[in-house]
Amino acid sequence: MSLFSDGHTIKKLLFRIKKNETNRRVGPLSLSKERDGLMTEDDKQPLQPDLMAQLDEVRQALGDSSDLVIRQLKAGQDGKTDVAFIYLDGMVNPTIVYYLIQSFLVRSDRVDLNMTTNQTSDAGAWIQQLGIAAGDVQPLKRRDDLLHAVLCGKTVLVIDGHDEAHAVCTNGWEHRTVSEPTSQTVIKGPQEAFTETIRVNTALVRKRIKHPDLRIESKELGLLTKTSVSVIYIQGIVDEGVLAELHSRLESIKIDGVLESNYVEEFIQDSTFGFFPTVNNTERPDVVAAALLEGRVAIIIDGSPHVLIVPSLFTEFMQSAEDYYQRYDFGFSRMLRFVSFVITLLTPSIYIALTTFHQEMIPTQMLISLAAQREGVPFPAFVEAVMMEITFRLLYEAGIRMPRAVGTAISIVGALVLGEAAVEADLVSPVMVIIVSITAITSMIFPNPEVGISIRLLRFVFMGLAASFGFYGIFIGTVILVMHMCHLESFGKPYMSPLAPFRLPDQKDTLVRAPWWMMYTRPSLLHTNVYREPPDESTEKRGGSDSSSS
Amino acid sequence: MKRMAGAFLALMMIALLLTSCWNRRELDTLGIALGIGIDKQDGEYIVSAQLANVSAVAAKKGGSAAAPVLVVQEKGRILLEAFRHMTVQIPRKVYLSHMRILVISEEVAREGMKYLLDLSRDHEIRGDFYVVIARNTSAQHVLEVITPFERMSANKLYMALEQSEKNWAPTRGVLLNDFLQQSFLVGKEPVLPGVTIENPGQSANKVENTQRTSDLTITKFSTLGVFRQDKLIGWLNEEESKGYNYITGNVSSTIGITPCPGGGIIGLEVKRADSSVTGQFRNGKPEIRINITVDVNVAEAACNIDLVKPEVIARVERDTEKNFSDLLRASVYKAQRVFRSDIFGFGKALHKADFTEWKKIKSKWNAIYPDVPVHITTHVNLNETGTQLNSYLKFYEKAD
Repeated sequence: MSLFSDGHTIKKLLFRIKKNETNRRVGPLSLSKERDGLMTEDDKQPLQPDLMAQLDEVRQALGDSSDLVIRQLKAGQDGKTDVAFIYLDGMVNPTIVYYLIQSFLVRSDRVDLNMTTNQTSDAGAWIQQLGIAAGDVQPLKRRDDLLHAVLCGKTVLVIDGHDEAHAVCTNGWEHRTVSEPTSQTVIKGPQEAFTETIRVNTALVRKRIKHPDLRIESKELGLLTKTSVSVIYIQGIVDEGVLAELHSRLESIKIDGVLESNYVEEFIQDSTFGFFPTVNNTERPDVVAAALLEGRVAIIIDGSPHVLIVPSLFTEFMQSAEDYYQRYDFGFSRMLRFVSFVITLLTPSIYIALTTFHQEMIPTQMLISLAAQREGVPFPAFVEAVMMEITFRLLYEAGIRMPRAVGTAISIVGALVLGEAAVEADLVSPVMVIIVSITAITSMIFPNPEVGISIRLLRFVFMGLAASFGFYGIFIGTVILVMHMCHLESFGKPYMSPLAPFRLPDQKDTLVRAPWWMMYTRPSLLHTNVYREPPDESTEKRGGSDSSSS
Repeated sequence: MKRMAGAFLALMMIALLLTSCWNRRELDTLGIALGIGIDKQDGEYIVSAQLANVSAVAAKKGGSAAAPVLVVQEKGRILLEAFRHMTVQIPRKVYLSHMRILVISEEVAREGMKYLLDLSRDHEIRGDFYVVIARNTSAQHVLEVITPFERMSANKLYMALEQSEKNWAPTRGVLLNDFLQQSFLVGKEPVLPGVTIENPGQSANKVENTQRTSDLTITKFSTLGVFRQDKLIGWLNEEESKGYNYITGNVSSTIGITPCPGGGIIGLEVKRADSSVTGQFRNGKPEIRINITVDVNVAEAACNIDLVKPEVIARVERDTEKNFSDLLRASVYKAQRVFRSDIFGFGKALHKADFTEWKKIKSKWNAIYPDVPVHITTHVNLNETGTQLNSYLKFYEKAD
């Protein structure tokens, strides 16, 4: 433990910095009286009944934005009541707004708009009477609610003399359509991926689990961005403790903007300085549906096609969606992923240890061919390895960032520099090129690229240990790493479960994936409702109500 | 205080980067020794080390003119002194972990190797290399011969020994550890294979030697040398070496020759040979029983023989058993009466049979050994006649 105590101090320190930062960010918000456009405590005042004053305030609050549209009309039984529709051009679907205004004009004469002034408590009935041709209609009573509704792409109906406005759901901005997943592809299986729009995303999940117990709870995060965040789970299967913990962690997030799911992930994850991700993320709705069926909780963040899944354990990062879609392969491909985890983590360090400390462990023929390759290389094996690994990382980064048009240039230079020229020039030995290639290939094998990030860092640590202490160093490093991994938790669940602590029933989906008919129970990570398939008469009585068997 | 602790930790981390650590060596600083030879001259050991010239070995294209190995000699009172002394000749330290073979000259072997072989003490040396005796030549010369197939001659010796041990009954590879154990414990004496040089010539130590198709200088394993304790006392001939390997259960496959019932010879491929050497005490007198069962196939019938008939096969089996017993008896006789060296491990067998009786005779075992009665039983099963039944000689129509 003493090894990590240092980490804790750093963590505390950083936490303090983080807190200061949030304060600083929040600072201008609370002092924003003099700044236009930022909402303040004053915005929480009730709406003014006077329409003109109200519209002026909205205009002022939005700084006379050019995309702000305020459509003023006269309506009502006598056709003398002033009403106004407020919306932001581009955020709304113009067709819906058109129908909304039309239907309002046609039907407003049925209702005495002035008469309802004193009946604000019965707003729902009133709006029903009006029969507006639109979906969701919400009453608004405060100015910040009004502004927020407008900013969300709703059309707000304000009527002169009323201290209540009505937000009609007319959202209709341009968004990407559902397309194929880009980073988590499969050959067999659904080819849909989440998009940036939260409603599309929730629908993609809902579409897969057509059961009333699927719950979607929404909240907003980000003081400025007001990003919608949906927490999705299946009532009756979900671990209530995890759900409560997640809610409390989400509540504590204080940040001005949430632009991507990682903003939330870093706030809710259990340990920032753990080497491994404790929150899973996916762009595949089928993976989310599968996680929900196992009793996990998914968090969809508006604007990000990556959905978070908690709690998430180490073994999950080794599971690909395809494991479950392909014909049963006796767990071969999954075992291969575990093996490649070790390969990608340790190959360079094992090479360094073998060639600089433990030459007697190499078979004679191989030793001679290795020694011949090393002949004339001016650097120690460690320097050689670090050099090559860093070169590869540079190529990798460049490959992601560079414009597509120059892509071939990088790959040609990369292949030549890494492969051919460096060897020809006797700067690196050919075997080093092979080793870097192997680690590069095996680090790409994981279904979730997040694991790769942690391994990449650890690989250098292990290389250093191997160069200093040989296998002794690798051994010590491995021991510490295993201790660290066992120490991690994801929302109160031990990270290495079901390997450590060992859970026999959960082995069916750990190192190998058992055939579907054998996986009749859910992971024992949750405690109620364990049966995935209705048990036979022969098996024991089920643990809970079999609420979801879709 | 925390700042101090942090600084201390940081300093410790820096210390990790100082890799001036125990035996960290880059590959290109090693002189990989594959074979070691020991000769003696004027009371001093002359140690030859065959070092791999790695860049010449691994050079695939162009066929480099450099020799794949380099043999360096240095004098020393003990071996490790000589190895260290070699750094005055070569730029690398001799690295001994990959030793394949230790060649000892006959002269050194006859003098005794008691004080020579404390090699496994050094952490670099493993005891799993073969020990051979350079017969009629010096150890240095054996290591110098460059032969085709295996570019490094120590490797050639190692591989050839392994192959012929599997496929040719008279050879036997002995590891250093086994040799040491046998030379110091009562109950079994060691043997070591000999190695000779065929066609010795001027170009043996040049790459030139590999450019010939025949008449090239080549190392060749000869028969087994018999030891008493750590001293070489004589050589078995080929038949006796074969007998030795049968009795000690070291034959996995070989070819044996037996006379045909109607004249001529027949070649039998040994597929399996099981041997058991058991001791017993009758009235306090030790006796040895050797039981050997051999499964053979007909490999080559160089005679007119009707292999279809079961009685002919039975006849061949009986003849072979008799022949075989004679072979074994000859080796036992040589070991008991001529060399008086318990190479078959009769003492061990008696030890296993009756510990208390063995303890009584252990101290005078050397005297008792030559006269211990040995009963040899052999059993031969002829299983298959190969892809032909009768020899084509049976259908020989033309007159001679």
